[in-house]
Amino acid sequence: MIKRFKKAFSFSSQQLFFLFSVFLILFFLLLDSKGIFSPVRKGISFLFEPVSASAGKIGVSVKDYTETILQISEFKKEFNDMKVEIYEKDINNAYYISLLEEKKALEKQLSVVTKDEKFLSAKVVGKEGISSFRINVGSKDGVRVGSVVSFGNMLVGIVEVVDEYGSLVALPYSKNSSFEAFITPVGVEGGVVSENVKVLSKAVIKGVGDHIQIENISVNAEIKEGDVVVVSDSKVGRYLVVGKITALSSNPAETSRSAVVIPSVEYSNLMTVFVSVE
Amino acid sequence: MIIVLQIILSIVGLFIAIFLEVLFLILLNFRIILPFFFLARRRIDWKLLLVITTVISLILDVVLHYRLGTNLLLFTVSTGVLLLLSFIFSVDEEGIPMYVAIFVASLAFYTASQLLPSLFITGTVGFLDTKTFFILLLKAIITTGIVWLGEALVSRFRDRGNSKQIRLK
Repeated sequence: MIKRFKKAFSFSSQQLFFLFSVFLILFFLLLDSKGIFSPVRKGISFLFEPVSASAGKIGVSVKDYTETILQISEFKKEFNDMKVEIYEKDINNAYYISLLEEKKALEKQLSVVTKDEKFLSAKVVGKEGISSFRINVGSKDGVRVGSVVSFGNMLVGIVEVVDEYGSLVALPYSKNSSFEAFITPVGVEGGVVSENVKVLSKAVIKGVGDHIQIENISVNAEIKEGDVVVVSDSKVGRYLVVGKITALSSNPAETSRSAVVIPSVEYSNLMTVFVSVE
Repeated sequence: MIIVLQIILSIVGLFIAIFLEVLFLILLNFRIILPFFFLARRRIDWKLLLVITTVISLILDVVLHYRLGTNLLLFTVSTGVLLLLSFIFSVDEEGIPMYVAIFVASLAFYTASQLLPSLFITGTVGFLDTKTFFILLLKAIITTGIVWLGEALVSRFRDRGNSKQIRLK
């Protein structure tokens, strides 16, 4: 009888586990809600939080690394998009820089131009060695062989070859270029060259390929390095600054003196120039 | 001496278990201790299992900032599901029914872990939508897979052990 009773009410290990678990759950949940287990929590936290924190730190770094690897194709796409965006911005930026340069060049030209002169704005489109460059205006725009190319009050060159849509400009470096010039003291470079400028000496400038030579300088003239060389040639038709004197010869046996002219404008940096048209 | 060694090993094991549990929880939001619970259920005496489960649950409750007893409740939910399924088919003998039962119990565990912790903390049940449920399904499948692997490994070791024994007929 007792055996039968025991058999009828005996629990399996699973059932016992379940029953005790339920009891423990109720016990912990109720007492923890009252804050009775606060010291227990503190003790466990003291022992196991560092372990948990370390695991968390490692987990986060591994997760970040894995996510980065998994999203690499996305990053690649994003990188390419950004590259395209940067290129677009560079293009826009370059366009604004060219506009700004053109504005400054125009301002400089307007400050020196007289009312009866006509100028054509041109872009430098390519260099032909050190002594010439190409511009984007040609006979269609009214450019002729011998047209003077200037930048503000500075001589840039003479048009040597003209085609319909472009021209080749010979710079003062060119061996073909030769101009009558005069030397004047420092102080007129920034302004317009006029007839009242004090002329120290007449001279001739000619290109020698890699630099500009000035010759036939009077030995009696009080020339010093840094004096300004101004073209006064019928080919040019007006006074235009070429550069400054340097490497002045000092041989007393010579009948005339010579020097080297450093151009006031760096020809290789020019983007916009002005061609005088009649 | 052996008891001291056992205590030291248990403590070290406890730290490793907590470390791995938190690591997997952060990495994959996966409870690595659950398959081990299912594996231990058939092999360890229920009183020892209850003690181990309670201790680990309490530690996890503290490190995960849950109410004390929450993790134990999750394990109990899965045990309860196994208990209910044991009335329909055998859940203790290895075979497809056991793995089906483990899958359902795992799903119950993960569903409860999605809903209950916030219920005890904030008074509102956790968020569960179809997408989340599918993720829970996947986790339950992975858990069942790990249990299957574990059972296969244990039986292999057991067979190897038996092969070295001398059988007396």
